[in-house]
Amino acid sequence: MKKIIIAIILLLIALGLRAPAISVMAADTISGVLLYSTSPYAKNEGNLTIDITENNPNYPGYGNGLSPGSVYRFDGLLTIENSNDFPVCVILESQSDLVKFYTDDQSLPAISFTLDVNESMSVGVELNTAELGLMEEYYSIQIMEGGCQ
Amino acid sequence: MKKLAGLLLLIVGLTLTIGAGANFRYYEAERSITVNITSDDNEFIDLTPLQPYAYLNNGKLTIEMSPNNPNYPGYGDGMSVNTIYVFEEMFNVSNELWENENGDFPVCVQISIGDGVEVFAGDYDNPISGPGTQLQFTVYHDEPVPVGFIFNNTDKEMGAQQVQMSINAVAGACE
Repeated sequence: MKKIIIAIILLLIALGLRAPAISVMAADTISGVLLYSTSPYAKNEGNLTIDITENNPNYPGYGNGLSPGSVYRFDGLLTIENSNDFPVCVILESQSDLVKFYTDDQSLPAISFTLDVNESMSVGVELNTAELGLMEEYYSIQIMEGGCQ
Repeated sequence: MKKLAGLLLLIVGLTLTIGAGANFRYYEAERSITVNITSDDNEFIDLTPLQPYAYLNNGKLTIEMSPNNPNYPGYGDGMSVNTIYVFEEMFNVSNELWENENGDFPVCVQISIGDGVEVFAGDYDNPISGPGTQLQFTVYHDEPVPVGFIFNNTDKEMGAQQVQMSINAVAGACE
C-alpha cells in the first residue's frame, strides 16, 4: 500500500516535471518563451534567424540587401511571447555596435521588459551598415523567472 | 528497507524537481542576424544612376561632375560660374522591399540636399515634388520615381563645390 502511495507521489512529481515541456511549440522556444517573427526578413525554422540575403526562402528576387553607410529600422521584427505560467524578465542584448533594439523611438544596445503570463512584446531592430560585404552579427536573449527589477 | 528505498526515490524525485525549477530561474540563448551589404542600386530602397554624372562609389550613389568621375569622357570638365543647369532623371528611386510580395507596401521617400542645389521628383515641367532643397514623394514597388537636379552656379567661386544629400524612407505613403 505504501509502495503504491509512493509510486503515486513519484508519478505526480514526474508529471509535474513534464508539464512545462508540453508547452514546447514549433516556434523557437527558450524556456517557455516564444521567439518568432512575422517579417519576411526572418526565417522561423528552428532557431529564429534574421536573414537579409538571397539565401532567405522569402527572397522575392529583388532587393538583395541593404546599402553601405546607412541606418535601417525594422519595426516589430521580433516578437517575444511568454507561454510560462509565471511572469518573466526578458533581456535582449546586442553583441555588436551595429545592432540596436527599440520598443519606442529610442534604440538601445540592450533592452529589458517584463512579460506577464501569455503577454507578448514586439521589438524593432535597428541596423547600422558599414562597408560592402556580408554582415554577421549576434544578440543574446536572457530570460529570468519573475518580473524585471 | 523497502521504506528506505521509497524514501530515497522520493528524495531523488524532489531533487529533480528542484533541479528543473532552477533551470527556469535564468536562461540565455544566442541568435544571429545576417545581412548582405550591397550597392545602392540593388538594395531595398534602390537608387539607380541614370546619367553618366551619377555613379556608384563603393556602392554609394555619387553625383560628380569632374574628371574624377569614372564616366568622364575626357571633355567637359564641369559647369561654369553664373549658370543654371537642369538635369532630369539623374537617378531613380525604387521600392524593392520584400513586404511587397504580400500586397502594396509603399514608402515615403524624403530627400534633403545642401545649398546651391535643388532636386525635384518626376519631370521638370510637371514635377511630383519640388524643386527645392527638401522634397518627399511616395514610391510603390515596380514604379520607380526619377529624381532630377538643378545646379544654380550664380555667384559661385571657381573650384570644387561639394554638397551632401540625405535620403530617408519611411514605411507607408506620404501624408
